Order: sequence, then structure tokens, then C-alpha cells
Amino acid sequence: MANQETFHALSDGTRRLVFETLARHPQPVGKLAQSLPVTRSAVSQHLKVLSDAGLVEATAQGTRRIYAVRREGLAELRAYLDQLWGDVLAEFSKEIERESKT
Amino acid sequence: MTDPVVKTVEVPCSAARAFDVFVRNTAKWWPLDRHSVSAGAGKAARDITIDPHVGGAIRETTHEGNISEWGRVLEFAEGKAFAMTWHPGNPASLATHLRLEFIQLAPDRTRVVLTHSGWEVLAGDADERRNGYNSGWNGVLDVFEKAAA
Repeated sequence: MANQETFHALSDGTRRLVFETLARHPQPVGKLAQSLPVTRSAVSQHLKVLSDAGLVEATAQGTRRIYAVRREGLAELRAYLDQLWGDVLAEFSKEIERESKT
Repeated sequence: MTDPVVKTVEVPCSAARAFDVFVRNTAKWWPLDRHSVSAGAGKAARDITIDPHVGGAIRETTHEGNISEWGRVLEFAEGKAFAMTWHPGNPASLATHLRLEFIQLAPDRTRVVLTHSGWEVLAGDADERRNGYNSGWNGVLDVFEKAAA
């Protein structure tokens, strides 16, 4: 599915932990790596997937990048589902109309 | 924000017919090129099938001919309602919940109500949430709610 990315981003246990940790306290990569049982480079990779999915965003604070949860992420997912089901039901309805004409 | 997505459509046929087209002729009308695991690769799925009983699988045959399970049938009430777990392209642990209700308004008029929920349903799963690493999709949604509050 088009918005699979969002679900995929959260399908990994460690990634969810990264996400949930950020939701409590926005913080830089280094600090995240200290509090989680994974390496700094693994944290960076997880952050990339989460950022690509629009779930977290980074802001520059001096020379550091502070990562935080992006609240719009969920609203976008919901909008996607809304559009998905509208599209599916429209096709379903067209099929019934095609059939009833024949 | 995590309210279910609810969509309604009215179709010019009986509830029995609408149910039948939805669950038995799915591949005939489903937008296989837009909403499928194959669509993620820019291709159209070859087929979608629904096993017509509770516990049955909903399967996509991908453009490459592989089988991808989308979920399992939770409710199969002929002419009335159909429900399934929904996790295309994802493990079953991330399943949400899809339900369709077919309400006949007249002999040739049926209202179909689609409800996609699951986050709030699963949020009640205390065992899963206690298990930190496996907090699942709903732990995430809780976090979102708190962040947005």
C-alpha cells in the first residue's frame, strides 16, 4: 500500500522504542543511543526510516540535531486511509452499477 | 484523532448481492493497481481472494506470483456483515480491523458501511503493552495522543 511506509516504519520493535522515547523527550542521536540497547549507527538508521515515513523530524540546535516526533504523521496516515476506502468503495459501487445495467 | 475511519456508500442491489460481489468477486473491481502490496512496487496485483469463512485468509497474488496475506476473516455473515484483520504488507502483529455492514434499504437498495478501526481496539491489550518491546501499533498511538495533547 502506498502508505505502507508508515506502518513499516513502526513494524520494528527497536524502531518503535526509538519513536516512543522521542515522544517522551526530544533528543539528539547520541543521547538516544546511550539510553537504548543499540549502537549509535543503528539508532541513526532507525531515525532515517522514521524521518522518511514522516513520523519524526530533526531541528538544528547549534551544532546538534534534536529529533522529535512529528505530530502531523498520524493525521496524514488517517487522511490516507480515508482516501483509500473512498476509492475502494467507489470502485465497488461502479461494479454494482455495471452489473445492474446488464 | 484515532477515531475509526467510516465510509458509506449506497448501491442499487440487494444486500445479498452486494455482499456477494464484495467478498466473492473482489478481484473484479478492487483497484489492484492502486491498493495492493504489488502497487507498492508500481505494479498491479494479479488476484485477491477471500476464504468464505471465519478464520479464512484474505490473500493477494502479487505481480510476481507470490502470495501475500492481508488478514484473516473475523466475521462472515452472509448478506449482512464481513470483518477481517487488516495488515497488507505487514506482520499480523500490526493488524488493524476492517468491518463492512450491508444494510438493505429496499429490494434494490443497500447501504454499505465500512469501518476501519483497530488502533483503539488493540490499545486495550494490556498484556501486549506490558511487554515493552511488543507494545505494537497501539503503544505508538498512545504516544501520539499524548504528544498531541
